[in-house]
Amino acid sequence: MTFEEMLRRAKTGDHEATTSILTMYRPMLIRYAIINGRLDEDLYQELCITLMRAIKLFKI
Amino acid sequence: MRQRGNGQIGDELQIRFTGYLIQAVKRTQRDYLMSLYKDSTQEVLTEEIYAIGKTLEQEVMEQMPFWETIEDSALLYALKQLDERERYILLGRVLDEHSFDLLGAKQGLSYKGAAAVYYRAIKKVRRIIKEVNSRDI
Repeated sequence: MTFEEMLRRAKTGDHEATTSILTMYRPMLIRYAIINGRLDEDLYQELCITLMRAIKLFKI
Repeated sequence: MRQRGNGQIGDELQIRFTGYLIQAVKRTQRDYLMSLYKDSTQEVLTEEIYAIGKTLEQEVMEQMPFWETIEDSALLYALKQLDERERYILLGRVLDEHSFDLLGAKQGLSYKGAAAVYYRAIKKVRRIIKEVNSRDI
């Protein structure tokens, strides 16, 4: 599955495609969720929600 | 993170999405840190107030200059009539409870000299307060 296909499916609410994108971007989200050398779990959750919102709002 | 082998159009789309996501993630991180900072400063303030247990009036009084905290106008007037050295020794003795040795050393006086200035200042203050109060009546 190409990234475009994956993104299109995720936009329609496909659970598998959304999980794949989340898995793909997880390292980046974790990097931004580290505050003072510690993973801030609340921030990580917020960033996951941001990813979901980005999937919905991004125009292909 | 980047999915390979999708051709140039797929790559470009992924790069665009990644850029879009990075912006959104940075904004979320900034907002989160701001709210965390606000919460922490408010918590510290509340804790400090309760830990010290001071009323608002006490806090305001502590921030005011010494002259403003004296409510007795006669005393204030009397203190203002003293010269700098008399006032320093009187207040140092009464408020800070310093010894005449220390107060004298700071003003270049002996123990006896500082004590003499102190008792003279006390007399002066009493006399002025008496005069002011008799005039008021």
